[in-house]
Order: sequence, then structure tokens, then C-alpha cells
Amino acid sequence: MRVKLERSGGFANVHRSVTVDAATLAPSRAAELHRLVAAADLGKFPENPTPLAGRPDRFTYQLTVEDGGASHTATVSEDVATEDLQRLVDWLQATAEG
Amino acid sequence: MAQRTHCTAGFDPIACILPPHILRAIIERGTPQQRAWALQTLAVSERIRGRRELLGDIATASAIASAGEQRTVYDVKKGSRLPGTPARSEGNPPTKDAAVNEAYDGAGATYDLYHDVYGRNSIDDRGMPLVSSVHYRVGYDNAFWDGSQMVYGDGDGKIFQRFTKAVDVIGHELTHGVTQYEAGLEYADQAGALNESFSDVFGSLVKQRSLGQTAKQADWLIGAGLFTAAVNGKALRSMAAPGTAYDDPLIGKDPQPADMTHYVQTADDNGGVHINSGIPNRAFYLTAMAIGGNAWEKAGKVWYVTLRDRLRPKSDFKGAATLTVAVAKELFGARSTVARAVSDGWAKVGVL
Repeated sequence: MRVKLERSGGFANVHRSVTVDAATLAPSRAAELHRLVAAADLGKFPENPTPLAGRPDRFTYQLTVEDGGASHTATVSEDVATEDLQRLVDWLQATAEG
Repeated sequence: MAQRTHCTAGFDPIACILPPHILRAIIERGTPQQRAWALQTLAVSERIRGRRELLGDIATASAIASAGEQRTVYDVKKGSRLPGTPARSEGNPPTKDAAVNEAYDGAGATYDLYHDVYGRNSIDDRGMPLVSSVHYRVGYDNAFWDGSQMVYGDGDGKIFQRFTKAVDVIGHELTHGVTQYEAGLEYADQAGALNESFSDVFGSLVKQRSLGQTAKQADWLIGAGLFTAAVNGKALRSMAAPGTAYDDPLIGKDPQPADMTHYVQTADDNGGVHINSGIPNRAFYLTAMAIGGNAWEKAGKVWYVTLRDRLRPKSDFKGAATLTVAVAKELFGARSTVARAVSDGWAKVGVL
């Protein structure tokens, strides 16, 4: 499983992109990634949500999960992100940046 | 925990929700700190219950409790549940936590600009308590106004340092609150870029006034000091020269245009609200430089009155330009230097 996170918006509007590949992780960390992705339930977020007026200075997250030939992308505004999705985002950033 | 048990001075509105009539009594007769707490509790409990009928009470209570600024800074302790634990309330001495003190002082400097120069009584002009939360999440690269309070991250330490380090960021976030209560500019496309620009303008004015700088002495940068030493950049945005704030291998180049010929059409960033804001930002800079002296006195006054009285949720750049020129003429005279400076400023960036 490979997970790519693209972060845009925010006060700074500085784009950040990180990719984490489960194949490069220790087994326990890879299992953790699988658990976090399952909990985030990305299927319920559309790839291209209807553009709406946003909330000031919040991030937009675009998450792409590739797993066994299948790929799914979800685009989520921070102000509607669930706690489970935020946990995945924080974990990806922390893991990619060491 | 006696405070919570007796529901008299605790700070946790969820653990302790008093009936509104008691909260109002505290707001009318309590000490400034008790009033701030009761007001916050009334506002939060209203939000939790999803009830709208108390709004009138809050407005009245706010008007009663408008005896000066009421700041409270909370510590979220790297979590996400707002507002967190109280760390410093109005009148309390500094703590050992720099982020707490910066959030407190920055909220004060912003309150003072709006109050002393424009006669505004806090964000809502009804004495709304200023609530800030610091240490939000882990390595969080952002600051935002959530509709009722300010929230600051510590930064990841690699690109960004803590967001309270720059007083203009604090002024920027609080101004999103002012805009919400006044023009209500939609956060998309040109209206959104105006929303961003007004936040940058008043954020910069908070900084200039707190440093006692004239328009010529000011750096006109937004977020100077937020980048770590590893980043090749002086700030996040430059109002004087949009597009020149940073150029770095890791984060790229400042994408802001300086005039309408370089306007960026994009679906990202809510239609480029942090990108095209460079155009109205520079119009303000040019206006303030042409007038000279302290930017907050004349240029700032024109922009403030326009934000408060004239702009509408869907205003665009041209609408904002026309309105600021009209306000400048009303405030300073049709043939005044100020009115001419405003109209020249917008002309130079290609809006008028």
C-alpha cells in the first residue's frame, strides 16, 4: 500500500506533498498504516468535491491510496475532516519527515 | 476540582454549564475575569446546544461586559479539542510559555489598533472576549480563525516555527473575525482574495503600529520570522513586492501576482485566495506610501470603513476599488491627496 498526501491552503498556502509506502516500513508500522487508512474511511469523501466557499486559512488535503492495483483519491477540506482522517494526516507527515 | 463542583469559576464549559440567567448575573456583577469566563461559557453552551434563541442574550451580555478587552489564552497541549486549558487570562502576568505570551500580547495589539484608531469594540464591536488556543496538534503548520476563536500551531520545526512569532499573523487571524461580522466576504475567488487581503492589511498595520513605524519604515512583509533558517525566504508574502517573499527548493517560489495582468486563474486554494490577494495588498501599499506618515491613520481608516460599511459578501476587486475611492472622498474630500492616492493605487495594479 502506498499513500500520498498533498496539502494545500492554510495561512501560508505552501504546498506539501509526502508519500509513504508500506513496503518500506517495519511490519508493525505498516500494520499501523493499514489500520489508520481503514479508520479514515476515505471512500466517503469524493475525489472532486463541489467547490464551496471555504473557511479562512484552513488546509485542503488530497489523499491518494494505491493498494493492489486499485487507486482511490479523496479531497477533504480540513474543517470537515474527521478526527480519524486527521490522525492519518498527522501520522503520514510525521513518518515521511522522520 | 471544587471549582467545577460548585460551577462558579471553573473554565470547562462542558463540565459545568450554568443556567443562562446565572451566567448573565455573573456577566453583570462579576470581576472582569469572571465576566470573561461567563461570556465564553454562554457562547460555548449555546453552540453545544445548537440553540439560537440565546443569541440575543449573548449580544446584550456582550454589550454589558464591554468594559475593555478580555483576553484568554488556552493551551491545547498538542491535542485538537478546543479551546483547551486556560493558560493566561486578562490582567494576569506573563507565563513561562512564549507562545501563550505572544498570543496574549498579539491579541492585545490587535484589539488596541481597532479600538484606539477605529473606535471598534473588539471583533464583533460588542466587546467579544478574545479567545486564543496555542499548541494545537503536533507540528501543525498553520494558524486560523475558526469562526469564534484563534488557533495556532507550533510549526513542524523544519519549514515553520510557531505561528504566534509574527504579530501580523495574529492581526490577520483576528481580522478574519472582523470580516465575518462586517462585510462577510465569501472565502472564494476575488471576494476570498479580498478577505485575505484585508486580513494582511490590518495584520501589517498591527505590526507597524506596535513598532511605531511609518509607511516608509515598515517592511510590508507578512509572516516575517516564521520560516526556519533552512528556508530561503524572508516571509510568506510581501505587500510591497508580491511574488518575491520566498524562493526555495523545498517549498517553491512565492506565487503572488503584483497586478491584474498576472492574475492567477486556479481552482486550488479556494480560487487562489492567498495568491491573488497580492494585487489588493499592493494597492494598499501603494496608497499608504503615496499618502506617507502612519499607514493606519488614513489609508487604514479608508480600508476599515469600507470593510465595515460598504463591502458585501460577493464584492470583487473592482467593487472594492470603487468603494474605497468613494469612502476616501467622503472622509477626506473629493480632491484630497488621500482620495487621489487610493485611486492611483488601484490604477497601478490594473484594477481601476
